[in-house]
Amino acid sequence: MPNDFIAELKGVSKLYKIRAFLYKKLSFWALLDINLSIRKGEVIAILGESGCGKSTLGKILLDIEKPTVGEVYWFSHPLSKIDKATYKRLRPKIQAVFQDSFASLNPRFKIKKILLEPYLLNFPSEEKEALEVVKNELQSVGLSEDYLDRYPHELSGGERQRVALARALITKPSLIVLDEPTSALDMTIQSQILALLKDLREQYHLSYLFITHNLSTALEMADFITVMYLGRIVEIFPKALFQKIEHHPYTKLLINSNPNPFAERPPEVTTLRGEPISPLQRPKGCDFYPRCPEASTICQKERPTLRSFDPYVQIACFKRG
Amino acid sequence: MTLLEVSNLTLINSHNSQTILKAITFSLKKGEILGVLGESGSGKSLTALSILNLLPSNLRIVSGQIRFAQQDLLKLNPKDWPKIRGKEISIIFQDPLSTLNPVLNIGEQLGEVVYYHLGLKGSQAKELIIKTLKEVGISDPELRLRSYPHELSGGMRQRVMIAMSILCSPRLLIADEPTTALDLTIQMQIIELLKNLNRERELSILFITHDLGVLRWFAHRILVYYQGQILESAPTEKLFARPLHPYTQVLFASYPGREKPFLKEKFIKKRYMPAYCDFAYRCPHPCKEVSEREPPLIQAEPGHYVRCHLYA
Repeated sequence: MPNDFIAELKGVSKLYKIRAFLYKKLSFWALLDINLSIRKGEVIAILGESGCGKSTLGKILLDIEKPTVGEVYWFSHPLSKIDKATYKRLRPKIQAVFQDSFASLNPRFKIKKILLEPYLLNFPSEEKEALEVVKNELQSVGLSEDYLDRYPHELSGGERQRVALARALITKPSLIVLDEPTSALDMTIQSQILALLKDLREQYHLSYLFITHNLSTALEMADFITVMYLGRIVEIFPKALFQKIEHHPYTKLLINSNPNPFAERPPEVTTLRGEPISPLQRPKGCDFYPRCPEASTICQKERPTLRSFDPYVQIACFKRG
Repeated sequence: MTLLEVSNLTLINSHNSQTILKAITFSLKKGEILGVLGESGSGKSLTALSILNLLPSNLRIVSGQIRFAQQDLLKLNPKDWPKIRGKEISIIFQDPLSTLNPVLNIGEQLGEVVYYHLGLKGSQAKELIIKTLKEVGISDPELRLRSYPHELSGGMRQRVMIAMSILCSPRLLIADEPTTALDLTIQMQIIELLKNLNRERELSILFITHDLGVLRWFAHRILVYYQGQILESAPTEKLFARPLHPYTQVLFASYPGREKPFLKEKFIKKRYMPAYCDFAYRCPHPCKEVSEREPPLIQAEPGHYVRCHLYA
């Protein structure tokens, strides 16, 4: 059945095995029971601290990693049953930009080659025509033709991130997975890249999956914000309702830990117990109860599931609603 | 009472004679938290390293004075440095894993500091260490003495680093991006801890960061660095109420969710425009004077200084 979803995750879980001391094997669930769908033109932010599985989610969506349980759909095609030709057609439609632009650009390639290669691979054409497309793409990310003959190390961090973005755009994608695209940049450069991302979204009707740990960036960019904790989605809400709903205790904590310098009053001092726990020692009840200021006995025994409050708000907490 | 006074500190790279710090001047009072705000490469960390005489060998201080409690640190006899560094002035860095010794347990590392600076051993040393570890919020300090750094979480390690830096009751703590490598929720715990230490021990803190939100609610006064120069300095309230320097304004506007009047920043290549002001290439209020003379340091309000032609 056709719908306007670009990508969907249905019941996705991911088990990672790690080798501990000598031959002892350990495994942990990096993602548990994730359901997520991205429509055309929509920006969804994934918000969470390090180790919560937000990057794993991006990788699974990009088909860099396979889910242990569950199914990934691209344009309603399940990836486990997709045929080669369709896969090849859809692959360029979903692109990625990562945090460390230096690591994601080949240091031995000039910018020209970095951009030409993916284009010629997906749209076989004369090199002259392709070069025109490349020049256009460079211009749309705010770089001039002069950059074609440079190497990545000759560019600044912001310029490299622009090249990474141009490379993602050159295959005419519908969805770009942005994994902390601005975290490594200085503040003034960050805001330029965010503004560029907004412009490009308008211009090409792009969807973004915007992975970040920064609440204010998420609020600036996204239509929907998905909060993750320890591999699970604990809350989904639209940006418009940010001030209006009572959030999950963990989201509240994130809001208070990210003090807004331009607020009238100082942030509440949160009485936070403990530290993020490792997914290796997942507690029995709610994942968050060992640190939760509102925890009661039920949180210790049972695990809350995502419940809908508003057509657009979902929260996994016994204390809400 | 002024505890630390840096005046006209100028630092050059002796390999290519590039100026790295340009006439840095500021002072820090007892019990004050002074925030240093700047982007990467603006010279904030090198200011800290100059104060502690820990500069890499290719960097040379060509002029200026650093006075700490009536002593001129630049003229200090190398023999006397151990009495200052680690005892009177201590420093914590961004990454606690690389500043702690991986092959010594916490007790041994802290014991070393106590023995070296205070000459304490055995139960006396242990008592002081356990008291300090409790003060920085480490539970079961006696058990933790036998842990190795890799067994602790990032937040825990930073607490151990803070404990180590306050063991000898220093008068000044330099914190160089102490929370940047930590998770958001842990960051606030560390900030709260530093706030308490400042209140209870009257510890002066030189706090280096690029995080506006942290500085706003933590520092008493802020220095804005740009390319090795202090462009603006003001009490926190005043700076956020009325940022004067165009760079500060651009910086504040780039915070997510703020209005962006300056987004169409023009980047003029340095070689096309000789200027005395380093920010002139990106400045939204270009002025003619930048090609003629250095922007003067102007006191716009009591305590609010700005280095810009606009206010001359």
